[in-house]
Amino acid sequence: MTNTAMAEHRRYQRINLGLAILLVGLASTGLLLGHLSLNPWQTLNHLLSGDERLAVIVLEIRLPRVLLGLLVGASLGLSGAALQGLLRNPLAEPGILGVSASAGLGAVLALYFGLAQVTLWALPGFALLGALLATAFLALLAIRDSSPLSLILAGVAVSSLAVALTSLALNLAPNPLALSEMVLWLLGSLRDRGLSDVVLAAPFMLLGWALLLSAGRELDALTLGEDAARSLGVGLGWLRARVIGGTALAVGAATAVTGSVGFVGLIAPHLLRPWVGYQPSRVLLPGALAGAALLAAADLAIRLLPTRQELMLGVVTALLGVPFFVHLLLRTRRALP
Amino acid sequence: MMLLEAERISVALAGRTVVSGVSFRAAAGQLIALLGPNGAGKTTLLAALAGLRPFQGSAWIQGRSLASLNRREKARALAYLPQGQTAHWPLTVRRLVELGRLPHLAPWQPLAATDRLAVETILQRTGIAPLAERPFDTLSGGERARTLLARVLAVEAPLVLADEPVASLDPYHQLQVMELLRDYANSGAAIIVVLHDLTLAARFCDALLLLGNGALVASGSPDHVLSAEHLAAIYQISALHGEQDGQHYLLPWRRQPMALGTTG
Repeated sequence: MTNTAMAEHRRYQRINLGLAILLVGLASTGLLLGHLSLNPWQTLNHLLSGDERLAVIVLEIRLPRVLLGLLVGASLGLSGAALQGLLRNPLAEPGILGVSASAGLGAVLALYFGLAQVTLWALPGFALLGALLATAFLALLAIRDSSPLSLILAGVAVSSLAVALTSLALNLAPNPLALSEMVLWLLGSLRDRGLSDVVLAAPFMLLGWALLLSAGRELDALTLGEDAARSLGVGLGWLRARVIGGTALAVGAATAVTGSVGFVGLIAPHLLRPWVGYQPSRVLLPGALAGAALLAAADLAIRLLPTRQELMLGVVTALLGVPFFVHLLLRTRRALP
Repeated sequence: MMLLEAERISVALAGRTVVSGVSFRAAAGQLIALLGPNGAGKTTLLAALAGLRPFQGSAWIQGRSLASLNRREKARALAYLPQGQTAHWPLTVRRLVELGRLPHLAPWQPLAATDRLAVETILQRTGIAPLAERPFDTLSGGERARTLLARVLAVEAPLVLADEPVASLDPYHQLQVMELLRDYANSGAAIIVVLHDLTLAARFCDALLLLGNGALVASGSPDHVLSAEHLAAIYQISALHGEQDGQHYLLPWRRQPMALGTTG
């Protein structure tokens, strides 16, 4: 290996290691810090001295929330990075393209028609289906018209339709309880999730991650455009199928348990890209780690902010993400002819 | 041995025949220019030969049918530089050139020492080694063209198909790219290059292929293909001829008088 290649590789490893350490820090803070008036150190001491009431709070309330935050954040960051590579568009992101909203619509439909009561798998199943339909539609469109802006506009259309249909279901909701349950999928939250939610969503997310992470080298080749990538032996159909399928699995499952959370897939890869030399394959893993860190940090902030009612996670990521999106949009526009 | 044999290649795009019945051969060591006015079907023919467009007829690479090669074999047998090639992300020059090694790597295999050596050699040969760690978006037009060409040569394929590699380059860089192609062909490869510059084609290439309306009008030596009759019939121009250092050159000079009435 040449010196520069070795130095680059070491830097890539240091970035991943740094993000992993940050994640561990955020996760333990999330476990040890909460509404109880105990500082993390006291919490740890109480736990070690066998405080069962506190153990229940940490293991059954905080642990699922922290775990889901990490899994969902990683899913969103990784899907964003992979979609950006596939579409060669830094603005592509599950939230902006309406993939999250479509998954949310699937979840709400499963609730609305009472299918969620029939089987536990109906809700994530419908969310996955919603995400798959939206991603496949956008990818088909991107094949015909590769302009970044028309893709974003199509995403806006998909997102608006999904949100409108979700709102319709809310409008026609049979009772206030069903209504409050369905609102979650519009706003996104990690509150009151249990370990059963983790178990339900994790297998789909992990499968999605595997598909997305396997696409790295082919996404690198796509830097040269589709014809050049094909001439280098990349099977475009198979690559698209993996990125679309992986995104649908990861984002669908994430949305099924937390509702639609936007902009994480935009911010995380964008922050990391300059540090890894813009190489699509090298954005994937750090993008996932940064997504997880971002969501964990946002959720921690929500829990600690002294608001009268807890803020919704999707609202917070949107408030953070929109200025970012506008900044990127202006820059992309300037780069276009 | 013939590196490439194309037999009666026809390509239809959206029901319209764009290339019809083109046959030619390319031997190792040959640099062949594919010529023709805009819309003659050059780009389509090249993409078909690269296995990127469905076509009728048959193409043989090193005696093996193009259709019988799998994706990986095809990627190693031929390297393709699309028209207007660019890089969508500002990777460094080295990273871009390394992409040319993909056909030689198994799915999870990192670059081996031989791959790094190949990349280093190409960087030296194309004179972009000093730029190796520069991001693509900080390069000048000439540096970009050489980087993208280096990516293609890094495949080390016996057949190279390059679509207008000198378009929008200044004369210095046009000559430089042509010299690089000539040099790579001399090392035993066959190169088919789409050109609009007849002077460069006549000067650097061993043989020319002249397309008009999708059909092969003439092929062979530059003197034969760029005859006054062909220039008049296909390009509607006449050219000046001369000699320098014992080499014949040609310079497109005047539109045909008959084109006056139609104001092209």
